[in-house]
Amino acid sequence: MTEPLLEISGLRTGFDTYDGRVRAVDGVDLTVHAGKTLCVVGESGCGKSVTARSILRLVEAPGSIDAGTITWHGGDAPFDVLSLDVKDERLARLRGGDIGMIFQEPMASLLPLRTIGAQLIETIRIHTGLDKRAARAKAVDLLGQVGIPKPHERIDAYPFQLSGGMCQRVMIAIALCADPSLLIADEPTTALDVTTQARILDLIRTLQAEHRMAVMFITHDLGVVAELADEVAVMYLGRVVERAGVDELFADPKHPYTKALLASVPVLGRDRGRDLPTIPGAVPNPLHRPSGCSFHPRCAEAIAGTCDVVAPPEVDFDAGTGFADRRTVECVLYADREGAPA
Amino acid sequence: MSEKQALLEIEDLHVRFPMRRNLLGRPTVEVHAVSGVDLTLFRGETLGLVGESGCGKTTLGRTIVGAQKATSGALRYDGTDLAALSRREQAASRRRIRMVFQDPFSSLNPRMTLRQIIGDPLVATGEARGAELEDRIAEMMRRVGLSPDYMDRYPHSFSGGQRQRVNIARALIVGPELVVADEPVSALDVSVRAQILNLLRELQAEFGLTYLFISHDLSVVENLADRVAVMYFGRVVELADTGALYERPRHPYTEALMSAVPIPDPSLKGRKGRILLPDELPDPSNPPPGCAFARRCAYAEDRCGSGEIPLADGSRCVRAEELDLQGIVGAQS
Repeated sequence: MTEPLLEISGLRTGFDTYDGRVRAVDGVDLTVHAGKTLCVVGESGCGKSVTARSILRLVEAPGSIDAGTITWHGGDAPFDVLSLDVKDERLARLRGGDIGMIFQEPMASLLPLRTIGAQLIETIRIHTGLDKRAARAKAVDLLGQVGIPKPHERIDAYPFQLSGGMCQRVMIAIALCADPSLLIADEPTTALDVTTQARILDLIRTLQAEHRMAVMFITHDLGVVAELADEVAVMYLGRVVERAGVDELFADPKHPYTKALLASVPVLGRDRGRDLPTIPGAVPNPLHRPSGCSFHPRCAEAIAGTCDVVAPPEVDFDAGTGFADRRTVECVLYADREGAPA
Repeated sequence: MSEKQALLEIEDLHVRFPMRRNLLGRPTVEVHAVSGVDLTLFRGETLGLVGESGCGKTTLGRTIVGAQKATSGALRYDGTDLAALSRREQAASRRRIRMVFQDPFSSLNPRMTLRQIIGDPLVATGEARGAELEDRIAEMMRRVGLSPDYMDRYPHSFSGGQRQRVNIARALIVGPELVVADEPVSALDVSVRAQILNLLRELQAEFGLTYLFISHDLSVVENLADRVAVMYFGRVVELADTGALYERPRHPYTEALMSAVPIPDPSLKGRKGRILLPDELPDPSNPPPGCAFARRCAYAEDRCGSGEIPLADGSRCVRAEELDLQGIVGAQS
């Protein structure tokens, strides 16, 4: 469909703990297309945040990236982010420059003792080389763009003087200051009220259209996915278990986990007063990853002797007419389709 | 339950937190967390209490269980005023009203075993000891879906969902009638929420419990509640049966709140008119006259900005009769 902007292939990121190595991301392939929105959806411990942090090489000890390639196509020539030296200026240009990132806790992501203006101007100057006066003008302009009222006054406010929604807008302004071609948003609205969330999602959509940037949006909220995504990747315990265009995923989920998740979440107007279908058990500790398919102990369709033994194959389906160029499911139920032309 | 029987009556309840005091220690600036709530909980029902952060829903819940003192107003439980009770009687009433907290990680003492946590209310009152205590703890654990084999383990070895079961067991072991559940599933993984919601429903049927279910999540409240109260800025702005409230909201804030909820159905994208509220929240230490929502409301008129607007026919909106507000999209199907 459109050209790839970022290609993650075979990514493995782990963390050393006293009880052994946790494979937080265990062989992930993902592609973000230019100008499109990829939603990565999953629960705690599925590796969605670690995947995002790995892209910018923000994994700190005791964690490290063990394998894989992350190819950035946004520059003059494509390069592998993971093979760059930490001092390589291409990495510095990527972080906060070509790739902007926003996080879940806007209050915790801003320095409490510096004004939002100072933090914004600093980033602008690093990435654009503007002088102080011009950077301040750009900062006021950006704050206005992200919908902060009276930006010329608010620029001198400290984070504690702003609400959570306002702080998240400041974070978005910082992420946008060098006109990124990719915005990585890690649960940016989870800590916010629904009415504030609606406005932030609306803002991200508007800015995306204006700046033609791609968005990689990480969330556990299927409602947010339905609203924002072009493509969706569903993650479970460090693996992408299903990927599809957003319409295909919701109309015809294939992986038992995706199906169960869609059924178990209460939906406005659908589930009034009724018992909900449940997924038994809880997300396992990634240290004790179940054998075979890691979802099999909770799966209603698990086949004893197969699912608990063999790693499920990744099966390709016809991608349909949506934005996604691939539709895959990692499950033995569809194994007989393997190798069949999509 | 044909005859509705009032279990808890909340009358003109106010809770104010002092921000600054003068030389004499009198508060000069106060935050109005709850400002004039009238609500009745009927025996056996689930009343959902929704609203956004800072609306006073948690403060209201804490006041009901006695963890927060009311500035003024009355709480009448089963006909008797809780404030007029002696200390001993208050302790007894506390057994009838229990609370389940939001965060299953911080609400359990990490140095206590499940036996100690769940049994604590019984030990504290001296109600049970020895073999009887153990039996009652084991029975309660089984009821909430925990194996009694785990009795001597510590909370850290359990997942969020299991810890929330511990929280529920601790609340229910003294046989309460009213349970105030403050965001009991918000901190849980989405795949686990349904288990806890179903469990709450089961336990309600089995023990005839009355729930005050506090949540910011309208989908969860719709699933569990019989009636819903919407709070804004310390007041109940709308109160109605669940079906009526979700299909025909009668307050513009309820409408805005519902339109903001993302629905997991991409075919509805763009089909529902989303109301984007301006950010202007009123100052809680200096509440505006009239309707607190007026400054953000698309339907506001001059008359909304003055006078005291009462909760009439379940809505605290002067224009409730004339407005045709949009309920949830897809409800008709």
